[in-house]
Amino acid sequence: MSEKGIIREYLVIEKHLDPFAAETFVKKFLKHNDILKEFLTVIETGKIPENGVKSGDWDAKTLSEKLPHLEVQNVYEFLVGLRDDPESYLVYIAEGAPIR
Amino acid sequence: MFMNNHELSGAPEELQTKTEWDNLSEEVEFSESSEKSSDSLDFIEENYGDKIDALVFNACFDGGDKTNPDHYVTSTLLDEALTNEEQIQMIDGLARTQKVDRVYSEKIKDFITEKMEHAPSEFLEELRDDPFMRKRHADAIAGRGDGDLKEDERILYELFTRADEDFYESEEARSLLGDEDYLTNRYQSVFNQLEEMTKKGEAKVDRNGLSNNLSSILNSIADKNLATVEELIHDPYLRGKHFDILAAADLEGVGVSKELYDLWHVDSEFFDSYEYNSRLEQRAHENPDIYEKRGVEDIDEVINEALEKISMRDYEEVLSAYEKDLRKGDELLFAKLLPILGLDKNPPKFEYGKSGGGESGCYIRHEHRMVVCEELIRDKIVKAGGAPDTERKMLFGLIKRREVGAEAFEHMNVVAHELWHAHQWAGEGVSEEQRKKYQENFVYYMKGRNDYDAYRAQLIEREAWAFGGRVEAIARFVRKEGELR
Repeated sequence: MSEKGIIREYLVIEKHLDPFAAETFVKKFLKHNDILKEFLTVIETGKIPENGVKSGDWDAKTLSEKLPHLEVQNVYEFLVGLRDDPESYLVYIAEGAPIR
Repeated sequence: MFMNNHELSGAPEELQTKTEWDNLSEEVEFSESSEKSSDSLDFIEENYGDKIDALVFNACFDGGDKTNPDHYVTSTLLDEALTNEEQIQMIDGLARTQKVDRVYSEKIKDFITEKMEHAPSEFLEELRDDPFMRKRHADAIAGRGDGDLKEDERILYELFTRADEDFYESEEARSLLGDEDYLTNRYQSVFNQLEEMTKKGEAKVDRNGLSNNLSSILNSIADKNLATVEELIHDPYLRGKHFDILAAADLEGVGVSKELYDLWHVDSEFFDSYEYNSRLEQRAHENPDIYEKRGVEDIDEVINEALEKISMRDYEEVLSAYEKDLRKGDELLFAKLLPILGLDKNPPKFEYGKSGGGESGCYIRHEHRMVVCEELIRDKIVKAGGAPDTERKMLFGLIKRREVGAEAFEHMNVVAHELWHAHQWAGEGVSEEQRKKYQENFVYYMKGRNDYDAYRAQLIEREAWAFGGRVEAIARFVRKEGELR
């Protein structure tokens, strides 16, 4: 299976995202191969690595510690977001990224 | 592709004439030798691998049970991305190599293999016209006529209703739909459900056999030409369009109840389906003023208009209430905001409850009810390294005072946020144009866990976040000022 296929399958079967959302999610990774590779490792091992890929000052480990309620796919969404739209995502992090 | 066992029967046939398939196959040099078989699959994978992955995977879960994928494939999706030749090559490659990637269903492989072995010319004809045999699938379901569809058939039926609507315009479909027994049985099942609801006291049945609630709702829908009542009751094949009708009714302000969503199986799972979310994507594209990410300039006016009606004294009273008890603070803030948000004549129900998906609070529009998830609010503060607001006793324990800290301020934000949603859906003083935008967004809503950025960007959340955030910020300021005095 392709890397994108693995991610899609994980998001739908394990994380119960709908297939369309999973597809949209995968597209976000296309410009960030290093983040994609790390997410694949997380899927395989079930663990977020220490000292992983960075987006600014943040990596997946520090993000998940700061925002413990975030699901793992959202942690990686944030890593991508911190590169593509740092202004917004830094605000979300400062607010604690709640869902109301 | 889901196949019933009876469709696999058939006498073996000799290949009589050279078909277009064979010509095409020669062009791409497929071979049945084991040595070349892996090349064929590699060819497919290399040239169409990504497309196939995306299409088959997406189609697999289109309306299906996500936890037990049985790989439904729709020709509509394939038509959009692969040419006929590509589709034939793909199937040929799968069949001839007999090696199927684990993404593909074993049933597809078995079915194709059997057909290629026993009835190749007939099969090839069918494949050229309809690679995934959608008509045969619909036949199997529609011809049954034995009342309620079984769960897997219902899923398949809904899949084909959505993906192949033009099939039901065809002569073939008309002959199936003319089966009076089948229609009668479907009609009967609607009444069976109504009977159940009546027994439970959830509906009253009038002389026409429809509940009062359903009668008025259906009449409203019919009045607005969304569908005729006859269509809604008598045509089971309209089921695939039911969400559209309900959504349109909601958007028309008809006031569709949860009852009708439940009756027509538009349940919470539908909102996690491929179909719903692909429509959401489309509507987001068509309505940038609702879904596009932007600043707060366009919403400042409407938010500030409400904020200006909350006085400093109101904040002080609310903060004093939070000092006594979190729930007392919530109650007072709720009461003060109702008239400001045009909800005093139609206040939403206010409850405390458990979070379903990580949210601190929610507003359920069909029940006009808001929920604050106080446990989750507290847990999040603790997990983020903070501490819940402490309580202290004064005057020998006779007076209890709470700290007004992170917990109380988050409660304020959530109460204000959810009440703003209630205002958007049902509050007075909202312009017609604005109401329509809100309704569109309520019906087509971006979930946070799917895409946090898109969730924050959509109109109803941008406003609610701004309103709740400013109520909290002003309250914090008032508290600080109070401490300084």
